[in-house]
Amino acid sequence: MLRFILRRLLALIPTFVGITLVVFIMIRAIPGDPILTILAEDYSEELAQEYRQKMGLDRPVVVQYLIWLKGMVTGDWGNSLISQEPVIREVAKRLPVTLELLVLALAFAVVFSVPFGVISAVKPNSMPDHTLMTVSMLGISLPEFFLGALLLIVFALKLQWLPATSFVPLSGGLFENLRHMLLPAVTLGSARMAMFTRLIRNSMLEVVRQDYIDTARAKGLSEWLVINKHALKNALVPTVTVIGLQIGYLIGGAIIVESLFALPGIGSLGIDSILQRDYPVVQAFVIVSATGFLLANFAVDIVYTFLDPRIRVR
Amino acid sequence: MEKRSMFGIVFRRLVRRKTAVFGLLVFFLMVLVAFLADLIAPYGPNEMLEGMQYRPPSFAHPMGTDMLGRDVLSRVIHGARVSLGVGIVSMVAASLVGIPLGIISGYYRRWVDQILMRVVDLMLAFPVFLLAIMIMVVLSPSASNVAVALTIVYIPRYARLVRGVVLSIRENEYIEAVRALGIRPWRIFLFHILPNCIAPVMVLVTISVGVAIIAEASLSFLGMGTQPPTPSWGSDLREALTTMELNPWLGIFPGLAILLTVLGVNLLGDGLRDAIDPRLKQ
Repeated sequence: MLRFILRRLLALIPTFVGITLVVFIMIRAIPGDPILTILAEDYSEELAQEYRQKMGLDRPVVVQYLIWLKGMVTGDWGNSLISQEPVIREVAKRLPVTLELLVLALAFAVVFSVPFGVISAVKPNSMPDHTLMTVSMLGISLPEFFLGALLLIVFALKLQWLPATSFVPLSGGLFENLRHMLLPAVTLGSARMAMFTRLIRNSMLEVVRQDYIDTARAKGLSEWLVINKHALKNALVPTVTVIGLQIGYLIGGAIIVESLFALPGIGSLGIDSILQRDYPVVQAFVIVSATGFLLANFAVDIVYTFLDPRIRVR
Repeated sequence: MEKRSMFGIVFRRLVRRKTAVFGLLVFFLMVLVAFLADLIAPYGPNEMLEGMQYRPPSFAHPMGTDMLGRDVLSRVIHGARVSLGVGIVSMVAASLVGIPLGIISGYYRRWVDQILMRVVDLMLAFPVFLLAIMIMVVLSPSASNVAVALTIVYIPRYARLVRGVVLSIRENEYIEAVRALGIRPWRIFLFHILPNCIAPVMVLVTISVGVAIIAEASLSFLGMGTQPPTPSWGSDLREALTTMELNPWLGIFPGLAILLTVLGVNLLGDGLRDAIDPRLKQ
């Protein structure tokens, strides 16, 4: 098993190098001379030439990429053009916020979608099934920023049950932290919850048709056991793969939700830096997000092989 | 004759599902609204009515007016152009580029396939929305550039789908037969392979139009897509946000427009998928 994990981990390296190459090209493709942005009013031809030399911009592109890649891998991500702070420090400070948001949103989606999916599948075409399917279709079609804006207005501004656009880190107490994370996590998790509910329902409907479920019933097991133990276990296996694919949407959604709720995470950092043309921060934001997506898919792969050992044999 | 009967079957299966019919109606209604925006909108999208700032919904202004005294209904109607335009144009463009790439990749295999699929894999390594943002960083923010970005984001997804279809049909005897007849590759592609790809591509186009509409609105909401004063549901909601507690209608109506359109597209896509091939579920 350990060797299997290691082999999969090594296979990530070419993709990671590819990601860095794309980001490098992206930053170079931005119109305008970066020297011009850095020097701003101090611009002079000699100074620009000096900076070009210092930053290696007069070297061949391949050499530039390798120098840049070395910096990325060794943690030398440069300084923010706005705050002059090292980019990696800012990212390290904000990463836990985004990770917490993603975990909470995913947990919210999974915790609610499993029972909803089961309820729907146990009695297909019943009232509860129709209601859940209608609501979940609405949930899939609802953009995060609209749902978030509605929740913000109703629960934070009108009812004042929850804080609006402020943030308390975990170190400020678990309860206070969760109170501030509740609306963002629900906003981010809702569409995924709706999607998982539909998936689990379809997957359950396929499983309960199989012979071994008849066998379990024939043994005299209670319906509760048949559904929740025998059927659900197998129905969840395909869902895990889909969760992997959905993590990409969660990462994209986190960017929007963080900006809307002013959470100090990686996503809002990325958007702010893009709007301020702070490119060292932009490239760190993209690389961290894409690498996170890569690692999340890797983790899902591993979990999947645990759930379905047949895959390891292949 | 065969072709017509396939579409006939699909259409008959589609209209048997009430939700799919609802989706189809909503979608057509929205397309109609987008086309006829100039005729049906009571005011121009940027027409500022004097002394009419922040009016709540009334008979004269069913969706109220905004901070500049513009009629929200007229802006929502014109916003349909940007949303549907970007959503449909980008997905049609992406499929027009992605289908040939997928056919070439799946038909010739070997090094062509290797190279194309490595590029596709690399692009799929980025989450959809992140890749769209990255492209918007390079391009300047505007509705047409959002369409370009979403086209680029979706090309690899169409290429991958079509390649899979081609790989599974290229071993069929009828392909071998037309090849033995000496028919040129482009004729094989066009008349013998392409028709097999239409159904799965149509399902993906429909479902991804919904994603594209949300992506356009989200980019505009973040200030990286359609720029004001061009009416767009996403950027209008962004502008409404600061005063939405006092004037909820400013955000609610553009938001509902997105919800309704995407819901229609999703219901249509779901119905289409079940009608074309129930096995495509998931």
